Amino acid sequence: MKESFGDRVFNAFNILILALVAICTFFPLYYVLVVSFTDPTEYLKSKFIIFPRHWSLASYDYLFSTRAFLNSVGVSAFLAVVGTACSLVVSSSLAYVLSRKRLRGRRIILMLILITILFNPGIIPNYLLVRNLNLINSLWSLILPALTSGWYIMLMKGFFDSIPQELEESASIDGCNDIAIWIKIILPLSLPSLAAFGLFFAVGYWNQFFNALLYLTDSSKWPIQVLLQNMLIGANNTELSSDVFVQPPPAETLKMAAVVVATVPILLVYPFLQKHFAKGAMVGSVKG
Amino acid sequence: MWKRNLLASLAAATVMGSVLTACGDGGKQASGAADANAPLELSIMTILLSPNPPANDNIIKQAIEKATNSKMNIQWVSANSYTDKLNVTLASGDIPDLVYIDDPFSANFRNMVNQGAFWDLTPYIKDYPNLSSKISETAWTLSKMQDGKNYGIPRPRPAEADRFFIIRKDWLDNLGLKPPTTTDELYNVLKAFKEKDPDKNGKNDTIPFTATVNPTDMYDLQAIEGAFTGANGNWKLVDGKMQFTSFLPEEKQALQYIKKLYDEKLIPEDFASMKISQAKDQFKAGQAGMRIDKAGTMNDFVPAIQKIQPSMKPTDFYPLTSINGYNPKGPGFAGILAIPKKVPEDKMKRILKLVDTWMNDDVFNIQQFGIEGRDYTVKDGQKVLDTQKLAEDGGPDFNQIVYVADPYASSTKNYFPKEANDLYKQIQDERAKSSVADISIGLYSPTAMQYLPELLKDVQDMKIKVILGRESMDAWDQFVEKMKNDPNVVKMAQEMTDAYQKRNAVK
Amino acid sequence: MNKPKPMEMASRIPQSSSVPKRSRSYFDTLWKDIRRDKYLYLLALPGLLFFLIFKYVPLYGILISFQNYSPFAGMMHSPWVGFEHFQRFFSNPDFAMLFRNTMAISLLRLVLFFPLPIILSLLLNELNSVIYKRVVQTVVYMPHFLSWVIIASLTFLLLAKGDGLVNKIFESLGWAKVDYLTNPNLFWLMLTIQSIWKETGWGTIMFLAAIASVDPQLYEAARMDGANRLRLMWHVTLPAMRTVIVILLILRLGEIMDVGFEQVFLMYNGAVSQVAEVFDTYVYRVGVQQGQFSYSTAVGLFKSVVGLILVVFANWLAKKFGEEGVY
Repeated sequence: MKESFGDRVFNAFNILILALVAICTFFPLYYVLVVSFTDPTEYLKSKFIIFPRHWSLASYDYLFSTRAFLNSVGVSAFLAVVGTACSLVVSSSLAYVLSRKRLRGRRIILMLILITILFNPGIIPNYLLVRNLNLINSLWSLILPALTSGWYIMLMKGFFDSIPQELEESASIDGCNDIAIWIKIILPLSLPSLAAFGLFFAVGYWNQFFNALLYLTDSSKWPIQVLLQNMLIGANNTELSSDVFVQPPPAETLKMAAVVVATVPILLVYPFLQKHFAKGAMVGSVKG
Repeated sequence: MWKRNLLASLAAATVMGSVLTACGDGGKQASGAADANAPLELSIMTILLSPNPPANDNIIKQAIEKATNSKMNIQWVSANSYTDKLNVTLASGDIPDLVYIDDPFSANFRNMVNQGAFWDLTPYIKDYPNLSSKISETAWTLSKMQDGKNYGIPRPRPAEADRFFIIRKDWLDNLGLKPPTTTDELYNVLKAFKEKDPDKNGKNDTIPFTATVNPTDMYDLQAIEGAFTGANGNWKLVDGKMQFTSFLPEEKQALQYIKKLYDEKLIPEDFASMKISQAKDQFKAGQAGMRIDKAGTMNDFVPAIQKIQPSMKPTDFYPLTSINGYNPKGPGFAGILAIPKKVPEDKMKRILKLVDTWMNDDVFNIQQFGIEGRDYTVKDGQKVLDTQKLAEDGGPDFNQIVYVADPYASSTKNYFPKEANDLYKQIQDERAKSSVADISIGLYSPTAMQYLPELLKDVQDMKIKVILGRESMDAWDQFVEKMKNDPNVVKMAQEMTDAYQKRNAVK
Repeated sequence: MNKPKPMEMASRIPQSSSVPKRSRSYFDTLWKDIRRDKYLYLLALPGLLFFLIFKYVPLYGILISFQNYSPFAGMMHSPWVGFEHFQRFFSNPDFAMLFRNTMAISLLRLVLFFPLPIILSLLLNELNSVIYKRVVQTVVYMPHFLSWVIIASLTFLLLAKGDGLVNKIFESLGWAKVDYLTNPNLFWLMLTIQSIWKETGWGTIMFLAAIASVDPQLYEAARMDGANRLRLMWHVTLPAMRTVIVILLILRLGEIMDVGFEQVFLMYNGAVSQVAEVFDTYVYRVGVQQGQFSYSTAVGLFKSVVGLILVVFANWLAKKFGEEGVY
């Protein structure tokens, strides 16, 4: 395709703008990464470090020194994998069904789901429910109540809306029931949205903090965010913990290292999903 | 039309909800009467302040269990979320047998005590020697509820030598100055810190006094307020009546003083938006001449500073004794251990016995020193402590359950060099002669429960604006006039006065 | 006369031409449709169960806004106080200020922030180089993972008057220092810029997925008709995203009273109190810290009701424009 002059200008303009955006976004992140590797003493002397003269793994050592560390990484990984799988199944099934206009009661169900987005009764009723279901201290208490939410259903439904209503007509003539259609036809067509929501769910499970604090009584089950937060408290509040002997690195370098440790694993997931966001990933919809 | 559907669904949910909660509540059976000699099985919940939660089979825990004939199931909760965790625990009814209450004066705990959730321990205390003798009278008195009874064992902490001015003695020496004892002297010292290059690096780049504030109180700057008002905290007894300290005329003087410090850049320009950790880092970097802290935190700062300014000695981390004759002391306790009523009486008594036994020297030393050969060794009859190993083994964590206060624990640590310990002990003794406690701790005023937080916030906002120069001193005067006559404030003061007199009458 | 069941009124009823509309045949059609779609209902069962159990059952907790709830006594034994909490809330002299601050921050976010992920994803989509696109995408969504604590630290590092980077640069250039953090006039803008920085990249994921779902044949057809770049964007790409955009907009309106407690709390200081205090921080100071569960739930209920009104209105508006809407 021949590129017009206007096209070329636009392209250049686009590349420039995106470069600026990327740089604005990148520099603070670069700073976080660099500080986490900086020798604590050098950091104290000058907070603006472009490139550390004295590298140090002190902050990371301190984080990894906890025996509980590997354990909580395992817990978080379990939650992310199992949770995301469950969430995708539960969410996409409901969202798809709600996108089929012929369904009786569809509008009411949507309204009821909307209510759950807007109204939140607070931590105590939710805690009582989890307790009555005997889920306290079980890792499932971090998965089941968090399976999905009205937001995700509404958005996913938005994606499924674009799949033609008559699509199932042709398939059902072949003798497939709705569930089989969903599995064999609809889901493969929806890979971009499944990839996007899969990412959202995975990040959500990985970042779980408050629910873990409330529902888990055994500290050996702490997921990674709870453990990291706990380490930062000790480092930040030596007044509170004036009985604690071990000298943590300065709060700032430690915080940055905790951020890096907490987010790198999940950051690695996205590039694998990116190919699903390529243009025309959904090539050749099943039309006839 | 569809609204009816909604209501129907909501009604159904309500019914279901109440059924489910009804099923859950009240189903808890009290643990059966155990054989009196079998180990006491109990559940405990408390805060965790160290990075690593101790495991259930932790070696120190086992040693303590052996020494107290118990089997403990300890739930460690990260300190910053303790309140939320406590609230849901109390709401669910699954209250552990021994639970640490971080703020026994919160409306929540007071309500529960009124509803009979916890044992009144007052009649039982005298039966346990350590509980009576090793926990100070002050702690027991201050932690009473408004009906004059004790609903928990206060967790003792050293009272004297509370957070106060710590100054760089080496800078004072470099400039030929003496430690200040009045606010005027303090001002001169800070001015010298700013202008006379006390760290001798050729630049006037020091921050004389690094301080931060909180959204509802002046935090570090309270030391200055106290120096002017002579009171520790929000209330002062004036002619037998309790008055809100921020409305005293001396408070205005304090604000004018602080404003001067701000204008002349003797406190950080960003003090209003700085966080605590940033102030700490400033001091650790050797940039600041003064901060507010306890002498016992010396080791948090000096080694880091020595990496930048090697000439600093531990005794250069120097606590001031008093300013204008004022220095603060703490209440002598931090939180209480409460036992829920659902625990049967004999088990409750056994739990009290457990805590009492735990406070014996030989048992308490298990968490203070650890296991011989592993956490400490004996050299020439002295115990030499491996602090790192002890921390890994979680020794200090058990202090959040039972603690026997070493009166000098705020100032001295067994791993400080001797000169530092001697100096700090001496200064603490000096301070004890004139130290001022917060007399409002534990006093109950229903109006304050409702309105004090808002009042504190409004007062704090106004103070900041005045210090930054956004509002004039006249505006402060008008504000004080208005608030003093606010009916809620008047009522609060009256209730606090009544509560104070009531407590003093019961001695 | 039998009252028609609510369910029938709500769903769209296919017209049976020859059969007269009597309750009986209504039921017949209804039952027939349900039987026809039985597998759909089965498929939806896990999701519906989830909402029933985990969202609807706890909903009774909203009622504690009409009580003086005490966790120990539970709902059964806590006293009922009717609208007392709401009265206290509305008659608070600061109510208008809280409302104004909350709305200002929310609206700024809606107006300034909302379009940006859309624009950014459009721009990203136009890139020819796949590698460049992937790199920018990955970089741009990373700030989402930083907690507000870190972002507040970074903001402080940049904008502090004494030690901030920007002011240090100003100083070296001989310019006057600017007080960003304690200036009430800049507070709302600063919050918005923080949100933009943190969430724009993350927000593109949704839109990129929508764009990826577009049939490339549509692009070909449009190009055949001579459409240029911008035309393509306007007529092919944007409409593909339209459903998602509308849903997102409506849902955000529903949450208009939620401003993000942590972010505001971290940036709060005494000098900006009159513009920084929002419902959530107010409740924190007065409600939660006091253990006054009922009060904070009541305020939450108020926020939800406002959100509900806006959502219903926005949904009606969307339907008027021929959009799908949320229900």
